[in-house]
Amino acid sequence: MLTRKNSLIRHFSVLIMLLGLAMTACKKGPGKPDFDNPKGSQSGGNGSGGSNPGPDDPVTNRISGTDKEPLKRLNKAEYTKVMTALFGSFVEASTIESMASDEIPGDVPGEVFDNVDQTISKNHVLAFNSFAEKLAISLTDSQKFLTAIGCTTLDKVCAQKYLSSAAPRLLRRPLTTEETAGYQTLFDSSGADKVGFATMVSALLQSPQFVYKIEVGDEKGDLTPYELASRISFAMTDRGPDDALWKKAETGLGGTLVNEELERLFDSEMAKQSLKGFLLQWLGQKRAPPPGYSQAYLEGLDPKNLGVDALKEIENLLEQYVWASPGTITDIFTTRKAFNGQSSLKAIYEKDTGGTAENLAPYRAGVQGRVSFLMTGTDASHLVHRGILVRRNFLCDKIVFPTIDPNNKDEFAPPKPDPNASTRKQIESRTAAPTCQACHSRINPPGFAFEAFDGVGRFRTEEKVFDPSNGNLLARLPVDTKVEGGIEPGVTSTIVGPESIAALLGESETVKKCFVKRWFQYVSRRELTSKDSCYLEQMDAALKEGKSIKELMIETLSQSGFQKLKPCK
Amino acid sequence: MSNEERMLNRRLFLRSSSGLLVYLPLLPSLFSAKDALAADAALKRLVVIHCGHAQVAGQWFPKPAGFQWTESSVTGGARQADLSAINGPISDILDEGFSTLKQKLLLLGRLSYTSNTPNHNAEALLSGGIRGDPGCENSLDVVIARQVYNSVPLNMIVNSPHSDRPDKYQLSMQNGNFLAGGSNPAVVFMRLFGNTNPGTPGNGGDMPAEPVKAKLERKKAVDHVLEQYKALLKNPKISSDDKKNLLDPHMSYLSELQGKLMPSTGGGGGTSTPVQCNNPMGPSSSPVNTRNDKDYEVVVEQSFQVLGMALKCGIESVATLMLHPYDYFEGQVMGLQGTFHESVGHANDDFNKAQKLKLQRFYAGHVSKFIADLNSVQEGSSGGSVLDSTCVIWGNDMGAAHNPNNHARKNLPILIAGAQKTFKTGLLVDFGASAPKDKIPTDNDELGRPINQLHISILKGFGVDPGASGFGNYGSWEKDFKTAGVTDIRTAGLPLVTK
Repeated sequence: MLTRKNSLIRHFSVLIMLLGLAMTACKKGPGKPDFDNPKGSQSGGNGSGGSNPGPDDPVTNRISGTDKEPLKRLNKAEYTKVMTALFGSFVEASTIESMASDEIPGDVPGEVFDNVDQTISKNHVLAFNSFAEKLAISLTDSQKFLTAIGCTTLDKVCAQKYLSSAAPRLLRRPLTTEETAGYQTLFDSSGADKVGFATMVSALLQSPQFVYKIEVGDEKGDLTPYELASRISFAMTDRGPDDALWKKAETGLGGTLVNEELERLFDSEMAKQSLKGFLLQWLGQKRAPPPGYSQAYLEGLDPKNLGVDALKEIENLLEQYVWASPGTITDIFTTRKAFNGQSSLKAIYEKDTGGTAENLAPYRAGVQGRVSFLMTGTDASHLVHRGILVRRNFLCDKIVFPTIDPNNKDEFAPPKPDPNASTRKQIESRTAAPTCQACHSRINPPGFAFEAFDGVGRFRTEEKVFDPSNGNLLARLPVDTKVEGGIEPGVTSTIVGPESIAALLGESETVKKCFVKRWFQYVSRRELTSKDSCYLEQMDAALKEGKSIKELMIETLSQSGFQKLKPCK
Repeated sequence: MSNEERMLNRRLFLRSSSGLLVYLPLLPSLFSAKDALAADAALKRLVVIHCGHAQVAGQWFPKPAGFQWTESSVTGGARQADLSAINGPISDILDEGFSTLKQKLLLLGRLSYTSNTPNHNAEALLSGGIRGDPGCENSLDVVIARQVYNSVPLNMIVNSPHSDRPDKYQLSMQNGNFLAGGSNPAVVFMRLFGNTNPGTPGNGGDMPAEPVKAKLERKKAVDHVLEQYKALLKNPKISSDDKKNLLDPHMSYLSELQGKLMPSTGGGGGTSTPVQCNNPMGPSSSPVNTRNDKDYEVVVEQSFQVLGMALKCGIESVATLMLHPYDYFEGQVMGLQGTFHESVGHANDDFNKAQKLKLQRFYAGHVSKFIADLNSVQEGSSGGSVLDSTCVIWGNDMGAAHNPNNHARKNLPILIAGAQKTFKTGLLVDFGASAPKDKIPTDNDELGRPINQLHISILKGFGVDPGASGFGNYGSWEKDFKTAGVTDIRTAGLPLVTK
């Protein structure tokens, strides 16, 4: 079972890995760039960060060498939501959720998103078997279930009715004649009664058509209406089509119907939950480790509710700019509104955090100036981690995790408190070598700019260095947030603190393209490859029109690429 | 909301699922479903009977004058004696009822936890440590039920007329949490077999809306699923990468599961004692939560009866029965005086020692009857009995301490019955090295062997790999075992007694 504790540990491990990247580049020659580099540049300068998809990843890319859309196993979140949507009227949703939590193996998170793991394990198969049996058995004991499927007893007539009317919702398409006959035979041979029914349902819930999202298309090579409905629904809600979408699939989904459904689903509560999941992960909001500050570092601040309040602020911000009053990518990265009223954030922002005015300090502009983005959970600012978040999540740089030499771990460890050297100076020193600069020339600038904030997210002009053994203040070192250069190809400027980052991110074309790429990746449930790039290019026009986040997200799904079975190249 | 309309919550969901995994035909096909899961393994069933506290080790083990030890050269030290060499009853507690079964019994002394954590330790018997310790997340029954049968164990607790803590200190743990047990034998019986007495639903208050009477055809379902995957494998629209990376391994795992579900090839067979599994006789109601003190004895009797039926009829393969929940009685239950835990369990005066002995002899009478019952039923055409392929453990979490207040973690009293292909039986084995030959293994000074090694032997008996890190908790005492020369505690089964 993937517990919350394990999840946090795993996320924390990712953080440590990212910190380790401080020295990764030092182990690589300048001829081995770490990022996608569509121009083939191997220089270490600032000008080669690209938004185009990078080279195929041999580990995660299973589409390479084929035009067939890969099978996708229901991930844990999808499995839980699918089961709840289908059976939550008969078995308590909390029961399904807790059972899934206990039994279904967790997914291995990808670099940015947690929904790209497509591996299958023995534990998956055993869990699918166990869960299917338990659920099938419980359903056959539920009078509400019998009523819902229009049966009084679980006899042969009922089985036929179930296979023709309800089972298609499980498999997300009508059953073929052969499939129906096969399940009917299974029902008959298992007693043709309650036992047979439970056996039949158990088999349905373990079938590949249920466990995997299978897209084979029609005779023309296009997605069938059911496949399209399923693709749209999973993209928006992490589950199969609801009643309304299913009805449209039955009559042939296409044309304007798709856009209507996308609009309808986007504003639905079940979609909001899933879409916020994407947006929060894109913004790096689910990677924060649990608070582990020393009392000396906190200087009287109570961190008890900080993490929850900080995350709530970002959720409120997204609610505002994605749904209530659709805003743009620029808004997300430049807004100075606070979004969590009576919260612990007041002590940090030194402002009323519940207003609607753009009244926060300039350095708080955008999500990247907020506590949720900045808090590290430790007495350190995690300069490299912050820089990587910007480069990877917002600019779509591809960053390869380092292989840490176990005999040389200290070289990858986070900087230690040093009264004679600020965090910036230590990182500059460690990454000064030309080989290091191949990567760190990109990672460090935004990281340096965010040195205006400590590990809690408090603004600072001095870096306080504490003795970790006794909490004594050892030094106050001046914070230098000035960086010469830029954060994207062809745009150079002088960065002076976080407000400069806000302006650059807010206006960056690369950031906007990256957002579409990340969204396309999220809904595709896989790492993207060069074969996806032509579909992404179809979004260029929409990007230039300055459309809202909501419009961009819907348009990405409504444009032809997402609805095609085969890649365009 | 009426019973029929009510939602299935987690408890009902779990109970229903267990209850529906029922197999009801008459022998000899009784064992063809769940038992067939472990068709190739030496062990097919695990039963753990447990009573915490009220330990009287001096009367659990044989009197030293009645037999001769044989020293063993096993690392860490051990000595053994043939139970058959003991004339008459094995001990004051293991009385006449066990005498005819001596060759199928294994009495173990000086098995200890690896953790020094003080607690009531009800969980340690099946995990080697205390809940909350690293490695203690899942108890042996839960692991075997999952690994071998892809199921959950049947957990039963004897509830008492006066109990107010029915789910406290259960044996079984999953993900570090105690699993609640069925505390009403009649309800458990009806859950397993269906309501054989319509109109008498028992008084447990936790009955499903409609008792389930079914036999899920697990193998047929998996057969069907596997065919679906085979068909998909032939689909040219599925990429070769997906076939290789997803479908092939998925089918491999399904085939492995399917193999465990294969029907027994034994065929034929019979039973020396007919077992009525179709519309079986069982308790229609249980006197739980009453103020009648004598009812406790009835509940114990019924619990053993239901447990035996579930095993003999092949409905359950992994089960636990906890004989006390905690302060389960006060007053005159069985004629005992005082509260079980505070007055009897923790007392060490002669009067209360006599009370404990009376209680343990009461349990012993049921245990011996239960074991003899399993031994009377022939399993298929194997020539052996159901007991032979069942590992029955009767134990107590309280070690053999002189002071019952110290919640001893050393020297647990363990009786194994059955498991004929896994253990060398007919033996009394003391894993202590230093005790004088004229002493029975009741001192609390020597760790002996970690109980984890018993778990490893049992896991291997079921064909389950305990893994490189062994099984269960390995706490602060692990180094002490090693100091005593026991260095293989995470990988090896129990020496001397494991076949």
